[in-house]
Amino acid sequence: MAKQSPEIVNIGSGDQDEVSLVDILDHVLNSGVVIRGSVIISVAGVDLIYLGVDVILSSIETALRHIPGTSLNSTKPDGDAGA
Amino acid sequence: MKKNKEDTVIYLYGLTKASPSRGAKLHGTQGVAELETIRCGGFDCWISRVPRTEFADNLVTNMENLDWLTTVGVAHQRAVSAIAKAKDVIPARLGTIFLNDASLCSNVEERKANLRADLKRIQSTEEWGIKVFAVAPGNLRTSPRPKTGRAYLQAKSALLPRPGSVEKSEELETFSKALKELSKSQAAGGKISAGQRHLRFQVSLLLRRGDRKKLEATVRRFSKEWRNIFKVECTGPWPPYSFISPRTE
Repeated sequence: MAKQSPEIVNIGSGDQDEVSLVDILDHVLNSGVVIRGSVIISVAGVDLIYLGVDVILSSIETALRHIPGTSLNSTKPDGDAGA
Repeated sequence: MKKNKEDTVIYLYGLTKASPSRGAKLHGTQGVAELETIRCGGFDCWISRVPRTEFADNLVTNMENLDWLTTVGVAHQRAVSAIAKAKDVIPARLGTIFLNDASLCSNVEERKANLRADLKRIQSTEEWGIKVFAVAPGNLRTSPRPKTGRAYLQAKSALLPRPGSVEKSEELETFSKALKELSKSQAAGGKISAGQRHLRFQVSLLLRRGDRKKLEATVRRFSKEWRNIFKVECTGPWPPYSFISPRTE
């Protein structure tokens, strides 16, 4: 499940210079600017929890369903489709 | 890229200070689609035009689809890193979508004072992720084969983190202090791996670009010292995802 992302390196004491998918998701979902207004559709307050490194690939899906605040924000009524 | 405007929405990667060249070399780079810029509020907004059905109407469903999340997560990270290599960038969180140019611009205008402050804070910095794991006492394969289901579960449970097991140790305190001295700012590590097995310590650092060698030396020093107790992971340089002020409602 390791996904090598160009430019990103692992300089720790691990055996492989490898950056895992978990690390990528950790950072891209950690914060980052979420500009939000009345006409924006965005994933607001997505809060992921970790369920074990070997089951994460099948677990985020379940985790997301149980986390409040995962919603679309849009003034367009059809923007809520799929929420 | 001639798409019907009604069918596309805007996927935001991040914002950089408006510059005359607009980073022309990066245009055409692939993120989730081809990179473009829109200028507003004194910023160049790095975007792709993406299908509305996939990225707006079904965004939440797709965020729960691991294959989709993986593909988009990696593409997002690649694009933001490519921009960060050329300029200081305020990264957008994965999945920040706007209906059209006007909605993006009005929101950037509205928040430009905060955005300017963010940009100033992250100037010439990069993010590094640190994780310290206890070296595993062994695993189920190397231990004597459990004879009963109960023994198997007990062996397995011994490998799992105990509640509140991120115990404070003197070694970790020393490491944490050394990292604090090196970095400009610190933030909590990502939540996805927060419960990872044997994880004892996790932090994100905002580091001045010139201090990378110092960080490498510190990580190397502790790794060597801790060879049989802890494993240190240090990944980066990430765009400063964890150091952007939270959105205000």
